[in-house]
Amino acid sequence: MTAFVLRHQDRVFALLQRLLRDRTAAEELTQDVFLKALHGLREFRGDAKVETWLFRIAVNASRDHRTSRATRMRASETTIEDGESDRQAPADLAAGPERALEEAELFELFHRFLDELADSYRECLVLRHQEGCDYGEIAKILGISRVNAKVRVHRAREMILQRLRDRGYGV
Amino acid sequence: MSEPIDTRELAELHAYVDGEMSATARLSFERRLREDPRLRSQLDTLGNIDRWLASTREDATESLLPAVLRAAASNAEDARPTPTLIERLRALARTAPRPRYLWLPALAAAALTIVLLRSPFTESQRGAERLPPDASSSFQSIAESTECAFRLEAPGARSVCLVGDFNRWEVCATRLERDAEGVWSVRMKLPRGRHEYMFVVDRQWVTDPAAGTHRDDGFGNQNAILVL
Repeated sequence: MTAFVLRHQDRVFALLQRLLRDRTAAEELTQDVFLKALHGLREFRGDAKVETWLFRIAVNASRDHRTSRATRMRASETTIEDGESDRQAPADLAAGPERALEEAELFELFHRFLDELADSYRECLVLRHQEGCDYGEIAKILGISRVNAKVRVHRAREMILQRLRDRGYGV
Repeated sequence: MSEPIDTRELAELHAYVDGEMSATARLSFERRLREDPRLRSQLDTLGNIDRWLASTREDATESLLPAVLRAAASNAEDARPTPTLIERLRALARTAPRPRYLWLPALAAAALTIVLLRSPFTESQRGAERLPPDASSSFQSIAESTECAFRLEAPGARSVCLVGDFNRWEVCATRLERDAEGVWSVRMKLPRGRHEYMFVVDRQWVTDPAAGTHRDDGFGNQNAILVL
């Protein structure tokens, strides 16, 4: 069990952190994911990669958490903090200060638009581009068809591209 | 002002990024990319998505294992007098259906890495020094230890770590040093007995192919076995 947790915890945590943008919640849910996984080991049919199975548990946990958080937020009538926080654009100073500035702006816009995507699109985009899942794996994780997974990833990319174009980047 | 890209061009961009184009279509598309700044710009943005996500990807600051074990133990308390959760987990792990093709995709994913790895080997020689303080407590009663050299040829790697039962599977608790030829190595004193380990090469778990014996860990990977 030790090796199992240590081997997979970083990817499960990274996925949850990206979907929730809340480090504390991501750590708590990562623990829950492994407990659920270990409890449900008998149900693991072995027709998918272990990480696909863990990601499925993680995505479901993140949805439950977001639903619960949204309920709490509505109850307290507060707003979600914007969490611009500590992320920093990858430096590209070698290309010159103007290029670096544009890169930093693009980086910030991308993350803002990513956060604004509907959960169903953001989940697909993160699984594809951050975790490197193929469309078949995304379909298994989200319980949708492969075609649907592909359509969602494409649509998410197009929404990001369109919003960047609206801001004058690209075509 | 240039024309915005159309639906057909978008579909081509997706297919290109996803590696789903035939060789002929890819060559043709790459010719158009060289000539069409609109397509290039969109492709650059799509290419940046991986980089932007990777640059802000966060790992757990420390192992979550202790918390998982505590939670598991707490659950086990609630479950008495039935077998403890740990016992049930062990039983589950023994009886869980073994994934049939689980490590084939893992091999495929690691193919590029594996190509770079050639002829790693593990050697050991007798020694009689004390156990390192961070050695697993289960070994502490064994007086005799053996110095082992772990080596891996991976000239393209940025980091290589040795992970095994002897360091409680702590990722990168034991880092290998790279020499001028791209051979990574580390020496460790290990207690006599049987050990399981793997290398972690640029975050990819890699089985030591030079180990004489391997064992399926039940979760889709092969641990190398070292018997001292």
